[in-house]
Amino acid sequence: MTLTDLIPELRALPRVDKLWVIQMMAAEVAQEEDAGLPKAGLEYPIWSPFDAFEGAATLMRALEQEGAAQ
Amino acid sequence: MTVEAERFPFVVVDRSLGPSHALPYMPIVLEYGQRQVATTGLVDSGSTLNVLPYQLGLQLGAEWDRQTISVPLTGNLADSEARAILLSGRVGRFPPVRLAFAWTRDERVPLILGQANFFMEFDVCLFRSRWTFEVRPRGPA
Repeated sequence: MTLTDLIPELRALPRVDKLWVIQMMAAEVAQEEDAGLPKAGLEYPIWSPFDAFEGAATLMRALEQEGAAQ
Repeated sequence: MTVEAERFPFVVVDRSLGPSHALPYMPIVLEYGQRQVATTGLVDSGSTLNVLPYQLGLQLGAEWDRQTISVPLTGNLADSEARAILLSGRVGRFPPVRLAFAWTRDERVPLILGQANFFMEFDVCLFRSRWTFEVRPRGPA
């Protein structure tokens, strides 16, 4: 079905159905544009300890101590 | 002389979520004592340190109670105790290097190769648009 066929069908719909179609299409377009982005309601754990500088320093000391012991 | 880099593909971690869910997971062989495990690690420049998941440490024959240096972690891993452990890691055809890990009791985290000290031992280039990344041993200082 082409858009030319579809528009008269949509215009014939009751007001409440027209509003529902508008909402549905707006949501679909938004979802397509957000493809790949985090979705509401889902959990996305971020494992990277991006600010564990004290921990990183501890690991470097452990390596240095091993090097000094050899 | 610059060593030729090894090239690896990005790995799609969840096909249902599309190409945005491809991540740089790299094959690596870890060694502790006489035991070796071939696995993959997330090359994560946003992580300040390397993280070893609990089960992988056990597979390597490490004993939790013998690791005595506590490592404070942050973020999602802050609630789990972690201890320092030193392993050898071999990437591709390159010679093995010593890698220090925060061995966490958390079982959900992947193997993370972070700034201390994976990125101090290897130079990494990400070519995300081409779905590949390259790794080579660090050059002379």
